[in-house]
Amino acid sequence: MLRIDKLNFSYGAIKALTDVSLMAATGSVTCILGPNGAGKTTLLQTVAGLLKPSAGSIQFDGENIISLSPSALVKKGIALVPENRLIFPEMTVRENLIVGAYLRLNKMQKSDFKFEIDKIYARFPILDKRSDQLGGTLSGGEQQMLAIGRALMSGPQFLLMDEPSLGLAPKIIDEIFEIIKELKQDGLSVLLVEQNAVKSLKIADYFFLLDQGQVSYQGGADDLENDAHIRKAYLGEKS
Amino acid sequence: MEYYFGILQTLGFHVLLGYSAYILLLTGQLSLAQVGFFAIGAYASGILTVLFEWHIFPALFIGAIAAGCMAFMVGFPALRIKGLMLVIATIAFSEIVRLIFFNLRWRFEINGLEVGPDGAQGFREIRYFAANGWEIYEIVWLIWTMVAVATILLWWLDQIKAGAILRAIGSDELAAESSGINVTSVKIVAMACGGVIAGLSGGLYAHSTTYVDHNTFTVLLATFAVSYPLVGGLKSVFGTLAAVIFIQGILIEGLRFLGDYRTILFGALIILVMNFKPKGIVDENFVKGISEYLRLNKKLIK
Repeated sequence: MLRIDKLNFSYGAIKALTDVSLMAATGSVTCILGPNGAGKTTLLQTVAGLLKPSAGSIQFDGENIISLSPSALVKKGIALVPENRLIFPEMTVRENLIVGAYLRLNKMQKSDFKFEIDKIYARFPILDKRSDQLGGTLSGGEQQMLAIGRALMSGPQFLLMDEPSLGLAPKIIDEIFEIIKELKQDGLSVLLVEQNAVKSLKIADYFFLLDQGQVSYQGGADDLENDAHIRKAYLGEKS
Repeated sequence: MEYYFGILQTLGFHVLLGYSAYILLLTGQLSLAQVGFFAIGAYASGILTVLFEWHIFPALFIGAIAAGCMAFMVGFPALRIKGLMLVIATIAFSEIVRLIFFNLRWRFEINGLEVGPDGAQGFREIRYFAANGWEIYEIVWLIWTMVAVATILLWWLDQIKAGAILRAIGSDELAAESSGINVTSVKIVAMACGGVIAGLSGGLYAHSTTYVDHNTFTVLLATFAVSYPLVGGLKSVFGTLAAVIFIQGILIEGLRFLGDYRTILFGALIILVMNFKPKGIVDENFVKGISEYLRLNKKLIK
């Protein structure tokens, strides 16, 4: 379980997160919804150790992880699928996946490694086909799959996903959300940051709304769907 | 024949110098400090063989290690900065090293002859090879063995996946970091390895030419060092090797009759490569082309 308590973060004078508290249960998909500039990416990067918060605590399975480096967090099983995918465009698909397994390379036998990479290829057959192609030549959806595959190569328990639907065609977005559902079925916990409320409702178990750096609402998928204000603001329903 | 051996020696130092810049460029760092490490290797190993009468191999080894240690120490402050600032900081480092050697005077008598670095006069009489009866081809053989070892090691990096790690940092530090790579330590290790290679090159250089002075270790040499991997491309270590042979062997040596105009050609080459082959001459397509050509040949032979 990932538990964030009264987290604060500022970019200079601008406060990006104010007393953000939330919980993401093991084995479920927790979604953080919010408009642009709400602090969603900042929150996720803080959890991933890329940004250091000014106050607050982050606990993972009861252990305070706030002072850990990104690489120590990956070792603990928390992997980030960054916003805009950030795959390595000059490297082949296979090399991208190798980098994802960085912390396990030393311990892995050649056959283990092949097993892990085959698992990714089985989940994303298109990556198998593109194995020797440069990451930068893939389509947006394929790049997103590669970014997810790269994160999975570290063998995580908890996946932090930053707007995986960003800039993708509706059909591809459906595919990506289907993949998230499968990951959950395979026992992974997911903390998902999204703007696409309609799609997120179908796969997430619990929601937090982030508005101007503060949690403005939380609830399960049903609560969310039945809330008049939310329907108006996030689901595009006319009142 | 002497002349060609001389060229082979020069090519050897430059290949090693290019490699030392190559390994750092893989992690996305453009460093002009390589000439400083080169100078440290040259002076340190020279002092060991001349003033302390060491054997050449331990002297080269200590020279390379000294340069590597220096690179390791410089790495901590230097790699916290990026881009242009790193370029300027590394130039400053190389100049500091150069000026230290410009002022270094450490001479005493060995066998009735006063030897050692003599400040602005340079460091003369690094005569280990001549004094121990090495033939010129043996020196060339030594240099190119070192080059071969370095080439194999750098090629091997890509076979054991370490190359992918270095390239990942060069490509996107944030993504590399969130994949669990400790970016700072990998960069510092790369810096230290680059220092060792440059120091080794410097040691070989000092003993082959028998004479070094501060004029050799200017920004021009540092620019050459980074231009080899940039012209050759970062796809493979062989790009750097090819670029050295092309620039030093053909452009600088082959066109000697053009005199100082060659410097203009060197500048033009850099501009052309930047415009038409921004990823270097040995890029993705080149590698693909070669491997396809080889495959085709195999089929024809069958």
